[in-house]
Amino acid sequence: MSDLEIYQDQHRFEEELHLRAEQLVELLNQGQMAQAMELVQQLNEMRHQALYHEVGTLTRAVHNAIVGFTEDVTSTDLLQDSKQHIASIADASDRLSYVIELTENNAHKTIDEVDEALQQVSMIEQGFLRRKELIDDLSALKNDHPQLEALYEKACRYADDHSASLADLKQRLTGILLAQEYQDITGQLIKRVIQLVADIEDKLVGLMAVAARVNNLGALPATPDDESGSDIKQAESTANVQAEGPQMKGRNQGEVASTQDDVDDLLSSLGF
Amino acid sequence: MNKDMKILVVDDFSTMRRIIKNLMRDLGFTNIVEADDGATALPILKSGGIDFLVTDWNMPKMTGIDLLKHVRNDPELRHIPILMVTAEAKREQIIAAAQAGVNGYIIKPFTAAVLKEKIDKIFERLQG
Repeated sequence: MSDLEIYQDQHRFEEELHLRAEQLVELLNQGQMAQAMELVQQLNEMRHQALYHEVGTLTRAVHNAIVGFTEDVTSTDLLQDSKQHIASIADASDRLSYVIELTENNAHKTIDEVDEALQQVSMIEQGFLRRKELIDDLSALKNDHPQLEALYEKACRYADDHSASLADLKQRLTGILLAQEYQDITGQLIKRVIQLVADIEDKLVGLMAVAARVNNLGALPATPDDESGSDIKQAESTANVQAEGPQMKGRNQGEVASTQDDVDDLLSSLGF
Repeated sequence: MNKDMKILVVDDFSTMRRIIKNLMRDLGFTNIVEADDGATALPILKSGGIDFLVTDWNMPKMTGIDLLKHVRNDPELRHIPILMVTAEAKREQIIAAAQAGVNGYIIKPFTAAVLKEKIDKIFERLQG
């Protein structure tokens, strides 16, 4: 529903309210109590209807947004390479789980490369240790052969230079390794959003079920205590059933898809 | 500090387990085992031989704080030093972890230097 339509709807509701209020004052002035009470009843019913309509429209909009989000992302060319994978993913929560999977896999690939590079560094380090042994041997020899002095000093200078840059390289590789911890933090945040999306839809559908009952009961004033009691029970039982929703997020695609269809069916059956 | 001590790293993200493991290896600790949440960590702890526990907080099934409480309430395990490495950074959470008996608390994202400093501090205090 567009903003304009919402505005027009509200406007119509307000107009109607004004009209009936004027009628009510007129009836009261004329002393026609029975008709006045009926009008009050109608006003009450109107409010119910308006609220029910708003909640229903909102639920439908959220549901469509969640379904639409899946379709939007599937159609982008950016993810062409992964399209086969994406086509098999049925809903928004699964898609977010896929983001976690993708970043996790890539973080692992980066760590693999870092591991490999660190191994190379330690091999070079071992090479330096062996060269240091050679330098030590050279050091022992130069005592007997002073003409080796210049060669000895040159060897020492080269070895020192390289060990410093190797240490630096190692530190940088560790930096790359540590930078991969973003995956843990983004993953946790995304998991929370997945939970939130599932919760919002569940709660709205639950609210719709309650609203539908209230609407069906209409404006019948009989035994209001019993009615509200059973509404609460209805709300509780719906909440209990839906509490399973978040647990299957992204894990069981079949069940998630059928939940999406159920939501569609329920909304359609209620006229949204 | 014994560099051969057996360390259990608990985190539900395999990336983070790997990062911690690599950093530990860099500090000279090579005897490391892993678990992906408190529920899988407990049997490993109970089977014995773990000298140091590094755990995340927010994990499925059993969280790090519950694992911490379990370990502190188990006469066989309560002596194990515990370092928490977590994104949970609220004051009351840190206080709760301290009250439950944590030995060190690192907030993600962290650096290799911070990890080294906290581990050093934990074992200095234990020996002192």
